[in-house]
Amino acid sequence: MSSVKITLPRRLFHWTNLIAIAALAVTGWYIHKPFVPGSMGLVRQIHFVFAFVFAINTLLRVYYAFTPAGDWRKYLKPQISKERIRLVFRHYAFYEHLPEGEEFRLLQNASYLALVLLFGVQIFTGILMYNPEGGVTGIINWLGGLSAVRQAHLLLQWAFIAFTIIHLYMVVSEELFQVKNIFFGITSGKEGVVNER
Amino acid sequence: MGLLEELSSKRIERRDFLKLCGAVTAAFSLPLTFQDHIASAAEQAMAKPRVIWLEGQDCAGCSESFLATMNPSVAELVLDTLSIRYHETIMGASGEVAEKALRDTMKEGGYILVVEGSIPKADDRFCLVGGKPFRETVMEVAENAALVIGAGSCAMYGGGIPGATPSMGGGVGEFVKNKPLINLPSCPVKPSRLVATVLYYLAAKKAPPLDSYNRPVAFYGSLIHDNCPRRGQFEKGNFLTDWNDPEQRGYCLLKKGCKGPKTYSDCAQVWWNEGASFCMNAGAPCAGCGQPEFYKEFSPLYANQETLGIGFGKSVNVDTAGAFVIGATAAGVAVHGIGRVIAGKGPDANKEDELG
Amino acid sequence: MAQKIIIDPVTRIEGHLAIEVEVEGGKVKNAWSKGTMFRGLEVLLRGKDPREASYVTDRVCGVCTGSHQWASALALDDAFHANVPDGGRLVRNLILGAIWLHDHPLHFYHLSALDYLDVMAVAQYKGNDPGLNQVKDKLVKLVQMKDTSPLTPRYEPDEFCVTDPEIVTTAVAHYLKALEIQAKAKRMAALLGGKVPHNAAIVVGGATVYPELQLLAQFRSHLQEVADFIENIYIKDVLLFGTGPLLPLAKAGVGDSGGNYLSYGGFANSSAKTDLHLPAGVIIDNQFDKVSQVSTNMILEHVSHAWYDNNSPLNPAEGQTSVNPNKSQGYSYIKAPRYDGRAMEVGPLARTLISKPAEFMQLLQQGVKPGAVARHAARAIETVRLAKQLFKWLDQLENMVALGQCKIHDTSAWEVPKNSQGAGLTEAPRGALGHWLKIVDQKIDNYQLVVPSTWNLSPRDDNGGMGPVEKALIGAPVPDVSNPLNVVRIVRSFDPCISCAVHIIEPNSNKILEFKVS
Repeated sequence: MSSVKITLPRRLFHWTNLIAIAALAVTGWYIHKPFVPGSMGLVRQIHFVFAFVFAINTLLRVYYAFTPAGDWRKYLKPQISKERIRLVFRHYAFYEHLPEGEEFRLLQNASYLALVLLFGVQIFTGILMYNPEGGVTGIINWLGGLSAVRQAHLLLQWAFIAFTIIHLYMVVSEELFQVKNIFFGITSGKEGVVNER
Repeated sequence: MGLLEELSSKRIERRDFLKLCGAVTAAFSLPLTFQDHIASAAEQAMAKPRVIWLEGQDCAGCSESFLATMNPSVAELVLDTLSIRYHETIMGASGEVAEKALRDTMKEGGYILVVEGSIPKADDRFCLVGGKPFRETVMEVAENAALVIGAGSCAMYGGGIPGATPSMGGGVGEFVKNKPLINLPSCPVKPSRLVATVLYYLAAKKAPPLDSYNRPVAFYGSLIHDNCPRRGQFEKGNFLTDWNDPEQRGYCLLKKGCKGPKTYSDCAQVWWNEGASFCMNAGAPCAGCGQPEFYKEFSPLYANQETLGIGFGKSVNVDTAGAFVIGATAAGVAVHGIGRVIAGKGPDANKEDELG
Repeated sequence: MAQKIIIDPVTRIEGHLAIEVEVEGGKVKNAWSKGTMFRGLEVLLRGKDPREASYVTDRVCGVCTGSHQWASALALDDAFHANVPDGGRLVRNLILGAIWLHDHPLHFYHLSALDYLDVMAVAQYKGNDPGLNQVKDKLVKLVQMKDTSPLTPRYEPDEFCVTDPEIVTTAVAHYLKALEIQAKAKRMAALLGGKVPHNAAIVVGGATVYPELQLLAQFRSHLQEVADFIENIYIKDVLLFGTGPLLPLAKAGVGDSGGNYLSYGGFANSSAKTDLHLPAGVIIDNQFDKVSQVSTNMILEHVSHAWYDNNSPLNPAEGQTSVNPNKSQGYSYIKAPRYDGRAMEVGPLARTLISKPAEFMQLLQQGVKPGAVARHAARAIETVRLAKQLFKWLDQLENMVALGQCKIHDTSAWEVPKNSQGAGLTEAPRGALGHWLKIVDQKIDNYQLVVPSTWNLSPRDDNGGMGPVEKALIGAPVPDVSNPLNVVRIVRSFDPCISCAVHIIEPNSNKILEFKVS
């Protein structure tokens, strides 16, 4: 087994994401369908607070990616070759051996990139609903109305839940040894093989 | 005769007119000095603007709603304030006379065209008026109109309820381009809006500030939800589930499918039928009748659900779509996991292989 | 040479209903009633949450607004097995009752009266009643401004028109007053319904609005004003007209639809389904003494002359709506419902012949025959009776609320049943109204409605039998084809809730004259 210790900022980003997304999912579901009598006002305030935490976290994570220690290249400039695509495909389809190395994590990194872009959409639709009046009504109407915005927000939430399921499965099935790393920076086994740029 | 004495006072006095204009300026948040300007301009326009009112795929509900006006009274509006040259429901005129009035008014030009009801997009034959497609009539009459008003939800983009039928009704704005257009959606049209809009137009000689659906911002600028008398209950998380329960009487109607959080309208501030009531005051959830999403995307009306157009004119509940996505994902993961076990490559084995 | 004149460019003739008649020898020889609008609300409802059927179907008609919502709610109550509590039933009765009080006078004064009087007689008014002179001045001024809308004279008045200047001037004054009253009646309904037209408060299981006492007090004050107008002005005007110059028409029974009448009954007085303010019943072949019970499986809808795909006559519970505007045999979007094979007239005349109130029987004894004039009289008489009944319902509801025993909704029946079906039969101002629905998997599988105008204005059936209005027109005196006042009177007396167009074809000259009925 091999892994590099995951840096503190990345672990913090991951922690914040985990907590914020969980909180947003639960409070968001309550706003969508109040399942128990309670306090909608409070739940909405909590949702807003975590929404800001989540948005700022996402912004910082993107900023971090472009710092010297950042990892933007693996997302934006992946080293694609036919051979690698073939290997990745055969790995996921037929459980064949996939060599270690960031250049082989094509699908994983692509999905993270897509996730961040969707985070952007989610934050944007969230802001539109946070204060739907005034300047943004034009944008809302252009998007097909507040109803459409809500549906997009809700649908993306379902997509994030689906992502989480796959994410957990992949971690359990492929990289269980990384769990302690991403949360606590604890590595096991040898170090130095993963090419962390 | 007391009745007739009462009737004798039915001329629209300058005082009444100023009162009415006051309501207009208030609705559009104009400075008070503008009020005099409105009075004189509308008076000059004397004071009887020409109106042609056409009905397409409609239910005459908007006409009826227009006739529900009490202040100014219908008699004042119909006889003194407006010159309604053509209106199938309220004009007493016969075909020939009526047709002549329509033709003459069309020649004169400069009239206000009010369209009630939708125009079928699927097939012209779904709305024939006098053997002629209603669509053509509207286009012709719009030609010389100074202003086109789409009254009610059917005449709005999307065509309201007829828009969701096989006849595919469309709003007047989908057909008549290059004319000033004001949409006043709601089912039926809210008379206070119609009267105020016409008077504003006469005074200012232009349409009031409109949103991107051509709705006057003065009436459609804020969410019902934010002005709802039940809003406090929403914040408290009190949702009505039983209309009989005295405790729940003022509770939020979200669980009964209220579309207030998505609907821009002044219903909660300016009540219907001369301040009699409005839907949520009567315990009924908002159906969002003034929104372009009405009716197609707001159905189901009595359940708190979101629907998603998936093409081919079909729509699906977002939660159903979500459940499907989750189900498919879980199934995919399960199949992959089982495959992995069958292939004999557990996670650890896999990694050991790599290292080995 | 045959000459074709079309008065009115191709355009318009507003109207989603067209009436075409052939006149020969001063009489109508043949007639066709054509519905020319299709919206397809029945198709729209398939696959929808059944609870919103009442909301959507109310949009069928904005004039008899509330009626469809009511019928639909009744059909849903049936399908959901809901027991509407008394409070809910009374709230429904009050909302609908108020709407009826708006609808009937509106029809008389604003849609019909101008057929029965010579408006211009107002100018001849010589009396010195200040109020009437005010009306005269107003009208004269409008004429001078060349802007008499909506009073613009229709056709040249004929010998049946009221011409007495004082009566006409009073009638015009009442016309104006009635404009105010109908708006007030709508407001009365809106106090409970949220808004009118298209109130929001009637749903499956009952009503959504709790009738607070202060709300009912407002309702009562409006009701007093409206009832006062109905009892002291409206009915008197109708009887004055009907027994004036129109008496010959009334006694000749011009506009008789063929002697078959149907009422589903409406306005429940108690939770018992048969305890109705307006009783149900069927009259066949003018046998007024033999009122039989309504059996809905006798109702079949024929589509051979309508723009729908052909099929054998179906009961509405099994009905189909498959539109086909290409069908050459079709001439209408209206289907042809038949009861035991017969075309039935529905509406105030049918209801009144079935319930037989003394006031109306008296008119019959005086020689008035069922027809256009009797229809107006029946309408006014039932309005007076309904106004009185509304006070009783209001008292009952007030008591219930005062005692804190008012239940308005059967909340246990709010969830949609998995599979079910239901029928909702009631009376709309214009006549018998029925809604049928079938629920499969909690969704609407089929929805059919048979509206009063479908009965009255129906085209020919599979056996070539005419619809009631078509029949009523046959033989109507039309001495001058350019002035078809009687045709208009007959069509209007049915109170078609949509404007309609009259096409007159005179076979000899092939002249086509088009007239508007609004």
